[in-house]
Amino acid sequence: MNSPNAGSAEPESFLPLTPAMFHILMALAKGESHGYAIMQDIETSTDGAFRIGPGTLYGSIKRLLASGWIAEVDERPDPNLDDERRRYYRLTGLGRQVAEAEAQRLVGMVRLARGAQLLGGSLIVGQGRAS
Amino acid sequence: MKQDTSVVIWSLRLFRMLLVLYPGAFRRDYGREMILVFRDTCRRTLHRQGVPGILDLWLTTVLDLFSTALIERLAEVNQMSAIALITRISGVVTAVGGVLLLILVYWQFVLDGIGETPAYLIPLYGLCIAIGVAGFYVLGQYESLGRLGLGLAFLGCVTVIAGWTLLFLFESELWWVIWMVGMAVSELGLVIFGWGAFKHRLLPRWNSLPLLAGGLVLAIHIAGVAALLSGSENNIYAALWLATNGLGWVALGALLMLGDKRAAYHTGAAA
Repeated sequence: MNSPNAGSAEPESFLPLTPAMFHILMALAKGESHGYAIMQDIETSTDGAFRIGPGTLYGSIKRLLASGWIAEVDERPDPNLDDERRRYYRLTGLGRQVAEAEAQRLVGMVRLARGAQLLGGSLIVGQGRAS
Repeated sequence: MKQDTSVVIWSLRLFRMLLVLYPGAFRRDYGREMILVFRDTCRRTLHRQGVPGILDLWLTTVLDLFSTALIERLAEVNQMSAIALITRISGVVTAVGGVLLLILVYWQFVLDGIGETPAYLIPLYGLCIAIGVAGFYVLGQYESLGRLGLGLAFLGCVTVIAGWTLLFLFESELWWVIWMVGMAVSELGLVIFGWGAFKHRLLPRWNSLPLLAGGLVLAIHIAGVAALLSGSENNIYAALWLATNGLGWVALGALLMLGDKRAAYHTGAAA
């Protein structure tokens, strides 16, 4: 992966992303979230096929913050509703562009795989599986 | 319910301890959140899968922690200045030198010298400590007392290495004496450096440690030599001397490893 802080570089220049980074960006594309909720979202959306531990999660968050792809939300949640010690994160504009570029790249890969008849000519997406 | 709670509590305690694997800056930024995330994961896993689920969680968590801690450590090294890197490495080497001496003590006095005593550990120890002394020199800008102390300590280490190398090549009582003198000189150097560090607050923390370690070792050394000259049994002194020496250098190695992040260490304090 190229340097994420490369000024006005095209989103495509940062690709490919690590799976953990892409999953975190996808989770935050749905809205602001905290670490544990991101972990749960990833596990649920992949039907348990992809899980990340706290080290991978916060190592990735650290890099995503440094790249400017995500940002910390200043407002803290209502302590009655949630643990106020949690930090919330949101996707930035640049982060969305990079995530979209990565998604397009993966779509291209799937097309290639289908062309090579690795997907049996049909593609069914659902429950985190392709068959 | 009580058992469930204790499983989570002990898991969190262990998890907190394992966070030490990460660089300090990473721990400060994300340690608390990582604990929160792990706590919630533990609770949910225990609720859904019971204790076997917690064991499974630990397996994956340990792998995750070790691999990502290594990545963060490497990233930290990548961003370090040359001085910080040198002192960090010299700190590790110094601590290794102390451990080598402790191994020798264990071998010689606990195992009672079973088989061939690994005598090569002594010159290796000397080399490690010489690197550590050089690390202290690179790290700070010391006044004359500090420089004199480090110079003497380095000279003592070189003498220790030379004495043992010559001992391997030519069997003679003289080299034993040279080795002992080398050790004494390095201890004296450490005391002088330690006094300077203590007096001028040169170190970011544990300013009294070099003086304490050097003084204690030198005192035991002198007592041991006095006992030897008076013809009494000196095994206890020898074991205590070497063990204190080893422990002292392990602690000083840790001090070197911690010292590099304090910019003040390089500047005004030593003036």
